[in-house]
Amino acid sequence: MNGIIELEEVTKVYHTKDTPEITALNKVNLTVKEGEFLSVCGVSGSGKSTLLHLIGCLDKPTDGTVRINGESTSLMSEKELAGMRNSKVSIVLQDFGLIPGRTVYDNLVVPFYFSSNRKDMRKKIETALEFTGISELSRRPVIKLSGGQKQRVAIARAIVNDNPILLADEPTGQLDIQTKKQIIELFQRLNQNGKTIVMVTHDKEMAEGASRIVKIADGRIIES
Amino acid sequence: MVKLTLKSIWEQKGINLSAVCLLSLVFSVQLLLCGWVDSYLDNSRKTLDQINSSKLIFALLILISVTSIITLINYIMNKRQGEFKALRLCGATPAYILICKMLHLLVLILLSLLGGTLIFRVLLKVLKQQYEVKGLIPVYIIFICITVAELTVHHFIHRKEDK
Repeated sequence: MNGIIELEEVTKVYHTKDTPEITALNKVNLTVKEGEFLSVCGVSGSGKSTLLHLIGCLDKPTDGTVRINGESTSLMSEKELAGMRNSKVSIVLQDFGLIPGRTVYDNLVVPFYFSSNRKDMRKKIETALEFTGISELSRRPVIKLSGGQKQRVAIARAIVNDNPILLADEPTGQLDIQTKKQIIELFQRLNQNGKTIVMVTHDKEMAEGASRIVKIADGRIIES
Repeated sequence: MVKLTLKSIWEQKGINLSAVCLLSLVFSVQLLLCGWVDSYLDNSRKTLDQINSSKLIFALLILISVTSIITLINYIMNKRQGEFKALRLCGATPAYILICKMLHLLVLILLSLLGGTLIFRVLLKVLKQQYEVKGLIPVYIIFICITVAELTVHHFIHRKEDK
């Protein structure tokens, strides 16, 4: 039952000033094996993004355990969580999360600023650009790229450090059908190369591109 | 790591330059308003009523200027959220991001103050020497201009949020 990602009885409650407590995740159990391509499907507000944030070390669970590569994130300090984001899990977001005023190359350099391993940085960046098919765009500012190209840059940045886990939060949400297909194919190629991928989506067609689909509703996994 | 922050601050020419210009303008207008109202108060102390109403205008103008500056800074920081998010995704700690934000804000305000003082001096010289501006009418005009500018910025922020 050992997986690269393990969630045991994970609960996440958000406390806000004006509204009552919101239980985004309620005792969720999930195991993702190494090299798996998993889709987490659910409607808006079902808790799928919260799930991804917990796996992505952007947040900690209120209760339960999240283990990445056997390490529990619950007891980690902010510095350790940041280290996990740099060396274990990469995240691709719907709004790309890129630095708009910088070039594609500059955006790919950012993970290396927080990494102790900067050996062969240039070569790694070139490989990531080549894999995602955007080598010719390396000197272009991100702001001048199309949605599909931006998402490729985000994916290139996510793989440049060679982290074993790739998380994607609605990665095709802002893209047209043709570009959606290309992005899914890119994920499938990455998965074939050994990456463990967890993709959160409400798009059924996109979810079918994965090797396993998990359905989530009201903070609980209803179908696995 | 700090090198990256400073580099990113200096290299974000587009937004930084326009942000500094906007803030400089607001600072200079604020300084102008203060100078005008102050000299008006000095020169026209005739009745107690007049002084009180002028003080009220003075307070209102300061309030408007301060809220304009806060709105602008807020707008600029919102614009840079993407960058902070990118840093976080790539492994930056919250403390590091906070330092980045503070540095950015500090540089922005310092540059704007410098620019603002410069614009203020030039504007004051031009207004005094060329047009011999007197009274509170220009203050009212600038007051309206700032309010319109502030509302425009608000409109932009909300339109972006809606999107």
